[in-house]
Amino acid sequence: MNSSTTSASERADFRASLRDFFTDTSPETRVREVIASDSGIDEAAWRGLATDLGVAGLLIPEEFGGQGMGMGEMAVALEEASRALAVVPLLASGVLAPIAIQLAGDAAVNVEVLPAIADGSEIITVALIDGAGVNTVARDENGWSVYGSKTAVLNARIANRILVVATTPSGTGLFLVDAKASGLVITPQQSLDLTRPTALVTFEGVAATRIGGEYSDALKALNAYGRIAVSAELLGMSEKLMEVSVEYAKTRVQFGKPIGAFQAIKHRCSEMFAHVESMRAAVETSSLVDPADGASLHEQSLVVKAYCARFAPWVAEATIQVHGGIGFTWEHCAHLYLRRVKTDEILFGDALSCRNQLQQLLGLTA
Amino acid sequence: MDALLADLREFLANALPAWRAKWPDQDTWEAKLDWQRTMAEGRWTTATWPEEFGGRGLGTMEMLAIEDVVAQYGAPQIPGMIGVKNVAPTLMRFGNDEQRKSVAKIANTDEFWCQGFSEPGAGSDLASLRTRAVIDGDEFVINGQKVWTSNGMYATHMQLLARTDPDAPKHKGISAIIVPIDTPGLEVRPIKQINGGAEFAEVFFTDVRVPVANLIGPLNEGWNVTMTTLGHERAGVAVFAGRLEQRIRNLVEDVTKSDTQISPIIADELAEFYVESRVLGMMGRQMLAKIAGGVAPGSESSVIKMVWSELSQRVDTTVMELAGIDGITGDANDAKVGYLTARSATIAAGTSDIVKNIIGDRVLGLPRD
Repeated sequence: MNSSTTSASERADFRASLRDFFTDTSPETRVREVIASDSGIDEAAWRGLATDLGVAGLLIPEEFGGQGMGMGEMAVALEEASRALAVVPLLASGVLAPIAIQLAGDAAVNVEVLPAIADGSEIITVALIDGAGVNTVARDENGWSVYGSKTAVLNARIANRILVVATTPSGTGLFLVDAKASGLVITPQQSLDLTRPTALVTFEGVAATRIGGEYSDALKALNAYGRIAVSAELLGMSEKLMEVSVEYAKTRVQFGKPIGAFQAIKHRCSEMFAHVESMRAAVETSSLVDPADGASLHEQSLVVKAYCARFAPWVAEATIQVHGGIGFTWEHCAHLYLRRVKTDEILFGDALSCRNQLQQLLGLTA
Repeated sequence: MDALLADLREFLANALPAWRAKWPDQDTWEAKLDWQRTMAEGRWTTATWPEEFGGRGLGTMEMLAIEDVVAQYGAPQIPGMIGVKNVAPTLMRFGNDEQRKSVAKIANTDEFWCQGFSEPGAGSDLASLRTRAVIDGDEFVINGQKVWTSNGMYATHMQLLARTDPDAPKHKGISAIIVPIDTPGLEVRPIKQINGGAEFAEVFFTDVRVPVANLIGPLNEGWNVTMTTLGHERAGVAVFAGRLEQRIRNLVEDVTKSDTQISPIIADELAEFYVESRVLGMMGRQMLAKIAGGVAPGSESSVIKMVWSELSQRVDTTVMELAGIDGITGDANDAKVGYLTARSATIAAGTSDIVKNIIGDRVLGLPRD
């Protein structure tokens, strides 16, 4: 992983161009069309984002066809994409897969896989969470085979290949499988998040390529980056929800005045603002941590996720409350955000689980 | 900056032990005044003042760094903070030559100033103040009452805000006037607080006469005269943020080192505080970086003030819980006093409720009630 080298004003320019891009390609009407089509991806938006803007390869070194940037820049892209509810596999294929592969440090796989991610020709997702009661294992049977199942696999149905973390006879390993491989079954789930479908993926002796060696330390780092990435998404969505709520509070008139004149509403909006500003400070700070400083990365990722996972859902729920009845309708955007916010809250550990890990780091629990 | 702070460290390493040796009881008023004189001689309290007034002409960032080092050395706060930080800069900027003679005296404690702002009917809504100053010949005749006047009992002078034009819109009819505390008709009474301390006073004015020459800046411009200098203090909340972060690190360390068994709920509360204070600290550092880059901070100070006050209050509540039965017997006196004192965190310098109004109105542009 590269560290972030851009200046704050360069990142602001990058944000502005992404904001324009998503305003054009991914308005809410388009998002709803894609959701209804059940395709699981907005092909045009992804092509533009991945290929034209090069965002799929943002985290990939230039020697493998990417832009060689770091999490500071990717956080901006994640904020903007989630703010627009873009139906694109950015988190899976643009963030988690490139990081997972680079953390394994396997030169041959870097050359073979990273360029395909960078140019958008392949979508690769990451299968991290074992299915209920399952321990996904990999066995070396004249070549590796994977057995077990993984749940909540993001964008599995549109993926070309899947990275799987599995238990090996000697520890933990990262494996790459073809999504169409024999023995691999993808079962779409009734995902809470309509913009980012998940699936249960089962493996019945699926032929796999092992990437790198023992993966447990790398997995810890991958989880840290995952926490920062979903926190950036939570920030982007919270900011948008605050704006939507404030706008509504200015225009919706009841009892003869705009509801934003009532302190109960005004204070709720001010608290939203305070949480959004706090999330911004946390996301910007943690996404700029030097990747070489593993301890700092781990600790800050827990802090930022503990904060965002606690307060982004608060902002999303408050949005529905500010909107009253209209906020409870399918046609209003609030639930689309709430669904994605609650999903990001859970991914890579909710607030309580992050605090539990911090308690251990701080020596508050054994 | 490094050389400056090295100088300060050397100064403190010598001056602090000497002061402590001189004053066995460092809590006395005389001891505190003596410390302020020592700091003023070193031009450390007045570092942001221009050199012509005995300062060093430094900026906000340097001052914050100085205050950090002073805190690291465990030096006491100077008692005349309000004079040094608020009154003197106002006099330097708006005072006439005669009034500016007070600036040096404020630094060396020859004069001790308070600010007569809040009133029983004008707290968060300061501009609704009603203490009247009526011009009679070449004198102001002042009648009314001030409350929550910090250090009012020790003051020699007050920078008073009084209404001089009752017909003007409320921010426009206020003047800033210098009132010597020993003027006939002026009475100061201490206010005993819920934590047992008495750092504030009520001040009563009955036909108090001072020369019109005591007016600071133009007539009826007292609001702008006062608020311009208060603005400099907003950067201070970033330091508050950093200190709360450090306080929580220390609290967590104390808990982990002690034999006391804590419940999983308290452990989680401490982890919550840790998370929120780390994020607050990040916000504070971003604000300081902005100031250092020459950008005036915007809404950050209000957000930090709101988050800081509510979080610090919760922390004192948990410290009280940790004290258990000792918290009510007084065996853990700090916990008790801290808990009571913390009630003021969400009241002083604008209640949290008002800060939320300010963010709603001025930052988010929501309609006013």
